[in-house]
Amino acid sequence: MEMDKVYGIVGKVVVGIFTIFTLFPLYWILITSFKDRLEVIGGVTFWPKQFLWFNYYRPLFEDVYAAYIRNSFIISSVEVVLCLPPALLAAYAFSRLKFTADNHFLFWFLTNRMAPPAAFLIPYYALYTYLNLFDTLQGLIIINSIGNLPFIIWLLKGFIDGIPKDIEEAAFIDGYTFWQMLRKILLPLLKPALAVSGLFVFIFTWNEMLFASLLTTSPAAMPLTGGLLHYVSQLWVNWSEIAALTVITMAPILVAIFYLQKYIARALTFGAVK
Amino acid sequence: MMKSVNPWLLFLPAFVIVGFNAFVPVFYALYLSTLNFYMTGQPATFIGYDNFKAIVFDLTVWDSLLKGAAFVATCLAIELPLGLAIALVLYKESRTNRILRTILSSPLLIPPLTVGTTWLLLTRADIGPFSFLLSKFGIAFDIGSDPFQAFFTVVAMDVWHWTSFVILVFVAARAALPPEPYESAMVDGASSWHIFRYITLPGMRYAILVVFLIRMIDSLKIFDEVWVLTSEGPYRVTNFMSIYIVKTTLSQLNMGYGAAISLFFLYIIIILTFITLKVMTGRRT
Repeated sequence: MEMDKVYGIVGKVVVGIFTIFTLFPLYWILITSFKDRLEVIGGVTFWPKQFLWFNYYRPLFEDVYAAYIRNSFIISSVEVVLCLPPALLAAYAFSRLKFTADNHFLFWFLTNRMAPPAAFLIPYYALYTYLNLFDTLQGLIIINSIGNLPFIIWLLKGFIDGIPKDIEEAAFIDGYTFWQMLRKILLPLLKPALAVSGLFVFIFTWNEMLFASLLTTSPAAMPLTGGLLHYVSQLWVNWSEIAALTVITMAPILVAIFYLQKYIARALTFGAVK
Repeated sequence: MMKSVNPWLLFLPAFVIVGFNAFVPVFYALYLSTLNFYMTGQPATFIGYDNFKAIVFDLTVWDSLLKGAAFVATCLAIELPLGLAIALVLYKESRTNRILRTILSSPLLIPPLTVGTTWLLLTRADIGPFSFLLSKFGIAFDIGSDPFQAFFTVVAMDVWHWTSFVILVFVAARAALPPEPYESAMVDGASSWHIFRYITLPGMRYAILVVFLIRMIDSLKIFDEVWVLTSEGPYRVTNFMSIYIVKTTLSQLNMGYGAAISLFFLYIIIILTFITLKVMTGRRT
């Protein structure tokens, strides 16, 4: 019993230290985003001498970062719309129907999800120049589905597996065609699952950086991650603005995490741990 | 019974989209890898499998894999025990625990690029609070020149980014364990170490294995945040495979050889993914 107390205290201390370790970098990026440029270069201060909104204002309204944000939103939203319908159909097929080599295909989908994006960089770079998809929104939307589609097929398959088959069978007995059943029975049941899947796709697309920075060059197509990377890579940088742009880039995702909290474990293990 | 729809019809749209995205580039990379081809305007020449032969003698490739393996091993050695310890504190359903779990998982899904920029601001020798605080203890901290510090800063960044994933999965796995064995162990007066060793750990074996494999693959292909923070790092200490591939492409414009090492790396990851999937589905059936 003595040992239990020790374990309890040690556990709480570890959690406490790790919470501080988690929050400090976020705190730091937030206060840096309000500091004056010279204050950041001049030395380390743990609270801004004055709060400046200009670090947010200038990139958005006197530079092209508003366009980058727009591109990120367009690419991520279209990606969600593009991925959900085919993923739902495929997930249904994998969950409910038997067909030749179905397990192999399911495996093959996931290998695409796990594949390192860097390995696809060279062929895409050459291919997109040839296909006139270089520096276009469509180009990035197409390329993002390589990882996103397999991801939500696995995720949605898990959700469909959890729905009792009887419901569908009853619908078929009532004379529903497959498409009627899909629309009237399955879709309403899967609404939360589709929302969660869509949100994950949005986040992954929003987060994508390698292709975003190397396959686009102009404000007409470059998303926020690409723009931020190019800013950081410059010789002369304003660290306060980098902090502000970092906050802008991560903020929508931080909000989404609250909603997705209970699905993260399930999603990121492809349904292996529920 | 459910023969009202052809499974191939449902499966086809997703297959076409992913197939176009995967097969075309892979076959194109295969073609490129047979060429001596620099994106500098000179015509490409066919050289057969010489690029693949070159991989064998390219010490930087093997060095990259070794650095990657060291990175993965270090990260997992920290993240798994730490995540397990925290999960066993936070798995019980209570308001505080829910809030703490949410706070701890905040770095999890943010863009990896912003993880990199955040840590860049934290650890740069000229403006970062880390070097400021460490200098008070007489320690010179500069990830731009010290390979040891650079390596462990990248590890710390990965721990910051991903331990929450380990925590969340372990919380789910621990919460799913049946309470009966714990109750009878309590009745028998078993010590908490024995309960952990003989009930909790075996019960969570599968979750630990899944997290281990997924984290291994993810860390091995890490790119965005390292690219921003250290790139290849001093003495190439963080020159992981993804970094090396992109460097080869961007700085040398050596497309033929770049394609060859891309395929080489892709194969390594595919093999690891295959093992992971075997483990994950083996348990279900």
